Amino acid sequence: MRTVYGRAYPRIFGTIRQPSWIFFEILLPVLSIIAFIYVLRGFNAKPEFESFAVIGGSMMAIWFNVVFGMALQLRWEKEGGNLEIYITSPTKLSWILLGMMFGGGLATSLYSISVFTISSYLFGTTFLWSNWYKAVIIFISCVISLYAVGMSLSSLFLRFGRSFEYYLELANEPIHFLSGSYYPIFSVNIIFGLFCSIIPITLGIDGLRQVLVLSEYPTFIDWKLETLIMIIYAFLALRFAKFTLAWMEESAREKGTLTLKWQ
Amino acid sequence: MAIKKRNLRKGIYSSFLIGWRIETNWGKPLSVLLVRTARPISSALILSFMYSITSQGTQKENLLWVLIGISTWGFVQNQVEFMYWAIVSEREWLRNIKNVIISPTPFIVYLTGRSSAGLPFGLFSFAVILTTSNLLLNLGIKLSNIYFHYLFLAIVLSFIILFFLGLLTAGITLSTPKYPIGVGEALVGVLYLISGSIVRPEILPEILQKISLNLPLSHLINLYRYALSPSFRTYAYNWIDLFSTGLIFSIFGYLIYSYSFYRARANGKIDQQTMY
Repeated sequence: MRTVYGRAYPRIFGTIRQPSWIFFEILLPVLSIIAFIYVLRGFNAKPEFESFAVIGGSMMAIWFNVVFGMALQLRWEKEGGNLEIYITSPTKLSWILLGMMFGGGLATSLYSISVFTISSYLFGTTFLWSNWYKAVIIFISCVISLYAVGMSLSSLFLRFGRSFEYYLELANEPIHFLSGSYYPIFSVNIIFGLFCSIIPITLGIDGLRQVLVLSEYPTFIDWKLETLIMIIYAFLALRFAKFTLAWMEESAREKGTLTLKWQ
Repeated sequence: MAIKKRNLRKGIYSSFLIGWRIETNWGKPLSVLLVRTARPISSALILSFMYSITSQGTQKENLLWVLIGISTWGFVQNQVEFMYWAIVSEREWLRNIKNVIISPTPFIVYLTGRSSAGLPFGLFSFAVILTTSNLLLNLGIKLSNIYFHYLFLAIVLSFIILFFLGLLTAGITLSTPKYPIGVGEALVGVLYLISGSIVRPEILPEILQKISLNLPLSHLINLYRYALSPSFRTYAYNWIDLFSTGLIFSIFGYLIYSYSFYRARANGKIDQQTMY
């Protein structure tokens, strides 16, 4: 517990020491949402599409933190020289990652809620607030499943190093596209929607829209089932993370690459 | 030491090569191009899906307007990002910025070479987005209708104007070591909104409309539209707006860069590492 708390602490309180990060973490998603809402207005879309964009755009802040603050973290720790300290300390890497997951999840949830609040205020978007408790259930399941996926990815990034990092380009706009952050994913095609549901954020965004959007929302999977899938996802990803961490550590120790930088 | 012409040529060439190799991670050119262009292509796909769901295919001119805009955004993303990323990577990660500055190649030449490496990515994404969307969405762009001389001019002017925009972001990045990535991304993000790439300036609030009309990027993207489709040739293209805003913006970008470079050196910020 001390490890989890110790690693979660800088994720929550570290940002207070660098307020500019909070500003940029919130500003960039808000700018993106504003741009897409104006595009929707340019297409003469119905007003409910703006609420789709607000929900989708706000959730993407979490995805970026999962990729850059979780999946890449061990690799950055290696480059910064902290990884050997982690490994020689009397704790396990999985507890350290769990701490990052709690701390990062809490901090990013606050960013995401801030992005949502600012964007809703700017465009006067209204939501079905009577379903707030359903939204909270979906949101928490989505955050946990995403961070669990981030935990699994972190050992892969560490193992494959720079060559894997290069594919991070695919974690930006391509995920915006595949998660249906600015359009209802099942409106395009049900098979396409099901395929994209492999990424937990797609399910999270779809579920939140089902319970929060005032008008009828085109979907294929009920939010309760989506929540269940995300919880199963989290469980499987955590198991997988434990396995990949052990595998990565063992193979890196054998090859002597565990603390080898610039690889 | 005097800077010779030889230094400039070699400097441009080697910094282009460094830019290309670092940004492509020594990968195969085709796979690199595909990965790097995945971002603008995905943005084009998002816009196409948004269009098909909301407009049901009734306002094709709107879609064409937006897709030409997003196809040109690859130039901005690659060239400008390469410039400020060069500062961030040399200062924070590779910790090599001092060596670059004391080398016989001027720093601005180094940045020019590094950012030029983004041009092939921009051209590739521009061609791929327009060709595929024209084929799949039947946008009506015909080779016989394209003003190729305008298109060529637009590409050349993009390179020049984006170079100065890159210098502006590089200058700001140099003098703000605590916020190295956010500043550049925020500037590009704001331009994405107000430069008329995907959002029509006339639907923006009045103050943003005025800013948009005074940005060379807005006129440049309109030049691409003018060159590519007769739908956007209702009026003759206004070259004066493009050249006047482009000139003012370029001088402004250069001055900001020069001043920031000087201040960063004077205040010891040039090699200040803050990533922790």
